[in-house]
Amino acid sequence: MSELLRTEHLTRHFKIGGMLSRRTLHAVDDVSFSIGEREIVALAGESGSGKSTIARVLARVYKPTSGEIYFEGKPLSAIRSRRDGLRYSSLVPMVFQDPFASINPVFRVQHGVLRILKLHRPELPAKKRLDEAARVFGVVGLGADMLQRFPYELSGGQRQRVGFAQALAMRPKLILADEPVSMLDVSIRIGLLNLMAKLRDEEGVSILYITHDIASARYVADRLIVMYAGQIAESGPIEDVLTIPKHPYTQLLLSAVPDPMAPLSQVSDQGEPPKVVDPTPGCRFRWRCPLAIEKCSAVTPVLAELRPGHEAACHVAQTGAEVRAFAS
Amino acid sequence: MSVVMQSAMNALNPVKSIGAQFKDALQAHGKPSKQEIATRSAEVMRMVGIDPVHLKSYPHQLSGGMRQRSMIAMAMLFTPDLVIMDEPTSALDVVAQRALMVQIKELQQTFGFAVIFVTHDMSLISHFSDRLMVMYAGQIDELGATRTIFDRPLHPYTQGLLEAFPSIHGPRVPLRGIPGNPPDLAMIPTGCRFHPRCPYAVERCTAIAPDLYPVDGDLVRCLRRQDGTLPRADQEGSLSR
Repeated sequence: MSELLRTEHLTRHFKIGGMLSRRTLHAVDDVSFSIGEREIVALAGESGSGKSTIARVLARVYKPTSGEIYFEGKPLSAIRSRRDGLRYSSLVPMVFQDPFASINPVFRVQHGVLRILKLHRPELPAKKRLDEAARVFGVVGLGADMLQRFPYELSGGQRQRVGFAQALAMRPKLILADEPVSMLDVSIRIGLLNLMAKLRDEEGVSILYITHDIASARYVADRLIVMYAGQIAESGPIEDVLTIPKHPYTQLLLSAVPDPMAPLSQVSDQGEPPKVVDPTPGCRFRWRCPLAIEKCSAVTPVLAELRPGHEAACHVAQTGAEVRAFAS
Repeated sequence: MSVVMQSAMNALNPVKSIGAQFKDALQAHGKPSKQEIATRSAEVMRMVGIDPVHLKSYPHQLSGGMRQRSMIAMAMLFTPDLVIMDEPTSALDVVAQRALMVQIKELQQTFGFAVIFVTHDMSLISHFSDRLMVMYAGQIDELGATRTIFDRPLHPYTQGLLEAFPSIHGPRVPLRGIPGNPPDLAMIPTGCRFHPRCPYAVERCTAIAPDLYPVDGDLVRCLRRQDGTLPRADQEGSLSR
């Protein structure tokens, strides 16, 4: 599988407080990962762990504080002209969380798709645009008659399909999907997840699937990246990470996932995710970690490969010891 | 009786400290002395596992989980017999969610109040509720003991709902979810309200509106289940997980 996008030591900080405040929030710290072609990568973690910030940096909404993103081998910081910027945006579109707020309510649904086609595929003659819009609607499972509807006539699931159709109209390589199903009725979430798998298999699109729902990540994704407090805790092939989690945080996360078919597991943790303001070196999970050793409060752990393709940032796991912080 | 709202971010007054909001609630129900207010507020905060110093904190200083727990503390002020919880955990991540559920269960067992827990997360309540009421389009579809419903859902909608959740254990199986969309409540379908999305719908489902029928000790709103023409989920391999 060839590599599509790669980040190297991606970091994004925000200044917080008043004008004179020197405090910085480390939303994303030293994050390196890659996404291959035709691959769905799930980015999981609790609220405030930096998942959405990564999506926005990749979409060029925020500039990284430091670090670099390479798309098809070329650094994003080299993009200067509007044309190159547009080209990148069309290859890496975003699908948003809230389908009720991300479609303009005063225009017909076709408006958004046609504008995208006009802006990003100017070579397409005006007459062909409607045909192309109907084609992408067909791919996401909406009839061509839907193009003439207004957003208020559509259900949440249909609107989110419009969101994917708009992304698809740009002929993307990678779709950044930021919690695309969390606002939808549970009965139709599976339909959207199946659509994402279909886009990968039939259209050859890669997807960065941002979620806090591990079970849905397992359902569609090929690889899983677990974030904690702005850093990657663990990453690897999804089945490998879920069956043999190496990082204590991943184990905690898995033990807390409710499963009606399994007996209730005992989780003692009451801890809260840390606010990452002006952090000192050391593992950011150490306050909640039952296995923390002295080294954890002195040295920030970095990702190291423990199994093929499976990396974890944990000192204890890297010594080769078996990590069983929370039973799942 | 008291209510715990869905979003603790919006349900607490952002410009008043937690303690001041407790005081408001207590004063609305009588004329307690300052001393009484202070003791009762500290008591309920301890009940939900928050240090009473946070009575002086403002909502923005607390994390999501703590805000939600202080909402529950506020609901406990008058030792209620019934607490209505409208999706109290939906804004929390799984770890905080699990901790809160355990807490609610403990409080419920200590003080013996009843809880109506409104949620869309079927797997969450599977371990915490005694009885389960499944609603569809404004009506009760199925009502029975939680474990029995999870073991053998009777209504096609309940079956679909249980199948709509991927699991983190076991084999990765493709799921179908429920076809179609939630109904528009301004244009309710005739007959059984679920029939446009139901894989087992027959002609009379479109005409006759079903009542809640007792089947196997549960109540279920399905014509074909009542007369026994619907295949049983536990006897049909594809439906049981």
